[in-house]
Amino acid sequence: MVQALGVVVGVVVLTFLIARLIPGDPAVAYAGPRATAEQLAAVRERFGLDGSLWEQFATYLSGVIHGDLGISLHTKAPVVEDLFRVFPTTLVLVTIALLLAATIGIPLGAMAAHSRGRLGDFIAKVISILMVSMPVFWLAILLQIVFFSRLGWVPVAGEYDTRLDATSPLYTVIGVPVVDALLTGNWVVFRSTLAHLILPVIAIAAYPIGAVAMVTRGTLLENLGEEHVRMVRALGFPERSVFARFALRPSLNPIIALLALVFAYALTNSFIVESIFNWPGLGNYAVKSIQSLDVPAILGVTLVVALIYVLLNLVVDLVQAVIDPRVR
Amino acid sequence: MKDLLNSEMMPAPTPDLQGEPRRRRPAAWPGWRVARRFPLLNIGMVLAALVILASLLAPWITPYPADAGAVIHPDLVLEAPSFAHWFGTDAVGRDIFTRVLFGGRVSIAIVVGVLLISAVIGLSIGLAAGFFGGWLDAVLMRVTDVFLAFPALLLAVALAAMLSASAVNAALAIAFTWWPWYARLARGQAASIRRQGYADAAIVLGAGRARLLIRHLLPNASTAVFVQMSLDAAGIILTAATLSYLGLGAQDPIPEWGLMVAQGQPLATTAWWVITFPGLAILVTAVAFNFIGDGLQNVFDPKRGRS
Repeated sequence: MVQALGVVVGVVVLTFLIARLIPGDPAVAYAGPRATAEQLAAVRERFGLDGSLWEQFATYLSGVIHGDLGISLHTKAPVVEDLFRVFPTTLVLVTIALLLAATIGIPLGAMAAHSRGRLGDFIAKVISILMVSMPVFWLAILLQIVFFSRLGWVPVAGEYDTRLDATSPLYTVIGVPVVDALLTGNWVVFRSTLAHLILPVIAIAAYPIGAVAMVTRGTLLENLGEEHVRMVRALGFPERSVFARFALRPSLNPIIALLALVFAYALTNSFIVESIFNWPGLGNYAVKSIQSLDVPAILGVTLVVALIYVLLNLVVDLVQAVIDPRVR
Repeated sequence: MKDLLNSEMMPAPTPDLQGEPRRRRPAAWPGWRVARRFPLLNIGMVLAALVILASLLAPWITPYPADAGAVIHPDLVLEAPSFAHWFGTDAVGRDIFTRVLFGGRVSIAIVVGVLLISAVIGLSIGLAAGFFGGWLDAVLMRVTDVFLAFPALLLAVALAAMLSASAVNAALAIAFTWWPWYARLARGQAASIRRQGYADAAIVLGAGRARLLIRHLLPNASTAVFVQMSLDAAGIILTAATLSYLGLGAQDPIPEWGLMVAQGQPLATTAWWVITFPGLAILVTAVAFNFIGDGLQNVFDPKRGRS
């Protein structure tokens, strides 16, 4: 806990340093290159850029603690408000992608471990490595071209077909159309949201599928070689239950730890996928911030994703302790 | 010669206890048996060698070397792949085959640069932490933890966004996010080796700290570092390509793969070749290094099981 807190403080410091020690004056970046000296001074005063580095850090830190990450340059709204607006959408997208990755990756890895050293293992490994080597932006564009432009099977832009608003209006519950449609029983919109989810989810899930499969295979093989598995096998348990109950169960721990790691990876991959599929989430917001050199927004996104990552690792530790008492 | 080896001179194959009858032939070169057991490692090495050779020889083997720079051929815009242009031409008429091969040089330079910088920083910090222990260890490793709390791509994107966009700055941004992995790896190695008998023996024999560090700890950590480097090469290529796709890396006349995909994206519905080949180049190179890294890991750590 204390360690996690230390890391959080470090994350805030590092984010601050990235913004301040890099060549280029943030005040100039905000006010624009044609700003007058008075305008620059006003901007400096407004963002606490006129003091020493320590004073600036104190201002920044108190801002972060009070939930103030500054004003975004491209949306002209407080960064924190922006983040609250865009994050749930991304969370839905990434969560569905990770669920898909687990449902494909774990069986794929188990199949590889089961046919160790034989053709099935080889094929599974090649598939996994292809998945983790895929440039996400390229995969997303290819999916878009093949399944939308060429075949026309699925829609590509946004969260759902907004023309449906006329016939079956969507009521906002939490602000994420998929969930809202499900909760309000708006099946027409729900079907449309699902169709819009397919391609972005596949693009984001590619890397996690490969990573999960490889780790599943590795830990399963380690566990299959353990004493207790041999004994259970010697006792005459059917191979399937040896595999599922005695080898797979203890393998779940590293897989869960990996999923947390992959979550952060998927979150950053969603930057690219969201901007390609015009998905109004955190990633799209981040890419627009980068393109408009929106420093407060870039740092806000960086800070929030890093904090989520730290938090997630903490949760993983707790979950692992529940699954495997040896960790405690 | 081959017949001699195959026929009567060989004893009959004896099935081993695992029930796998296997004919053991004398190896043509000693590493052959090892090599044959790791087919992916071989495929990876062949692919990587092809990629590296093709990019090093790019000025001599590409049909239109000038197209790697800022050239415009208004009469050749967006031509489909043909015998004259194997991978087609881009929006200003440059030969994509030429640009893909030259792009390999950019990617390889970035990988080498990032690996060197991050290994040097990471190894120094990690070895120092693992070797001296105490408060230095605690401080260095907490700093490392902070860096590891950021997903690599995120930190690299944030940094690169602050710097002016160029291939060198992209490489610096990636190296800045990559070293903590080496620090952690080297620290673990140093700490475990320190507890081995031969470290004590060296100290008893009067070896100084510097000698112990350089002659004993560094070489022993190098296997693990080497495997890590080959696995990382793939990740660095993907990260660098992503940065330039976002416009945070190399800029226009430079033939960088990620940048080429970004430039081709608006045209891709009608001219599929403008994004397909640069993307394939990234994929093939990343696959090659991942095959090698995975294979090396199995060679050095057989417990994880080979395939």
